[in-house]
This record gives sequence, structure tokens and C-alpha cells, in this order.
Amino acid sequence: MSPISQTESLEALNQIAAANREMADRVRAPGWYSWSLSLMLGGLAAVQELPLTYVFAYEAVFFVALAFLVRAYKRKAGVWIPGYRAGRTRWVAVGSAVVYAVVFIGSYYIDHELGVRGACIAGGVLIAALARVHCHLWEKAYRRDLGVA
Amino acid sequence: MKAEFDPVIHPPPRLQICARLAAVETMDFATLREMLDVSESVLSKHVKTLEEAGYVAVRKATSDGRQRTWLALTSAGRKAFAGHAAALRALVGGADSRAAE
Repeated sequence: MSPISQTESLEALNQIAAANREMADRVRAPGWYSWSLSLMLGGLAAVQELPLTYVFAYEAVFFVALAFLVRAYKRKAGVWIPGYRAGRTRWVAVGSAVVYAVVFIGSYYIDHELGVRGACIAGGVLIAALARVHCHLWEKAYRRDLGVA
Repeated sequence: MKAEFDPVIHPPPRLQICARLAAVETMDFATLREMLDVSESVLSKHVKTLEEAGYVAVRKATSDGRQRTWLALTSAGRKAFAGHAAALRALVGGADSRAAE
């Protein structure tokens, strides 16, 4: 004997589906967030073109800025979802990190080992562009995780 | 995951709370209240019940000089909610398969 009827179960499932649709719409990253994050990530590769002192300075600024960015997002959206959350989103996050690492190391090697000046800046631009795409893919994966097409 | 009906989660307001918290890591109390369109006292009461069941963790933090309350489903809460949703699906699925016979 089940504690509730099938009609009640269906009603409850519909409520969950409605909540998921609402959440999927709510957590869309605003433009200022995804643009800032993309440019900051690109900057990590581009700054490798400069002397080590500037690299360290940028990295320090990067982490402080990242903390501010997350704080601003949480304050504005009233929610927080880590990129590495379980589900399809984790695959997008891990895949993105691998791609960034390949571009980062590749551009560093081309610039510093093969002597092609500007390769780190090109790598940074590429990472920034890819990060924009990955933000979009992550949101799509999140919507699918919630069962929202 | 075990499909198990959970009487703590099932009442509509608590189901709505759990469904929204399951989609995020943490959510501001005021944001949740706005989404559910309920009074602060009603939401507090349901959050308290879920907190007592060990399903919701409540954390207070000061931001820009004002205190905000952040809510999160605990791992027990996530498991219970997933199990409850699975039990609901099983009930509906059972009805579908009987209707098809």
C-alpha cells in the first residue's frame, strides 16, 4: 500500500519539474560574469609573454578578482553552483580545464621554446574565446541535468 | 539510490524547497522566499523542520553590513530527496504500466 495516490505522485513530480525549469532560467550567468571570467582566464595565458614578476603579480590579482567575481555573482543571483558539480556539467568543467591546459602549455612552448613571439597572447585570446563557449555549454549541460531541454 | 517515500520532504512547501536547493550548492533565504512567494515565518518553519531532519544546513554570513542566511541541502538531504523523487516516479510508472495492461 503506497502512502499517496498516483495522482498525488504525478502532481508532486510536476512541482519538481516546474522548480527545475525555474532554476534553469534563474542560474543563467549574466554577461558581465561570463565575460569577466573568460577575459581573466585568457589573461593567465597571455601574461606568460611578460617577465616573471608580472606573471606573479597577475596571478595574485587573478585570485583576488575571482573571489570578488564569485561574491558579486552570489550577491546578485542569491545562489551559488560550483562549476564542478556532479552530472554532465562536471564533464564540461573537466573537458574545459583540459583544453585550457593544452592551449596554455602549447602556447607557452611555442613562445618560449620555439621563439615565436606573441604565441602566449594568441593562446590567451583563444582561451578567452573558448571560455565563452564553455560557459554556454556548461549552462546547456546544467539545463539537461535538470531535465529542461 | 533507494527509492523511498519521505514524509518529511513530501508536503508541497518542503518539496518545493528541496527541489530548488537540490539544483544548487547554496541559496540565499531571501531568494528562496521570493521564488516560493511565501512569508518569512512560513519558510522559516519549513526550513526548521528540514534542518531538524538533517536535510538542510543553515549558515549565516554578513555581507555588505547586513546578515544573509544561506541554505544548502546536506548530503543526507540530497539522498533523501533523490530517493523521494525516485519513489514518486515509481508510483507513477506503476500506474502507467497497469494502465497499459
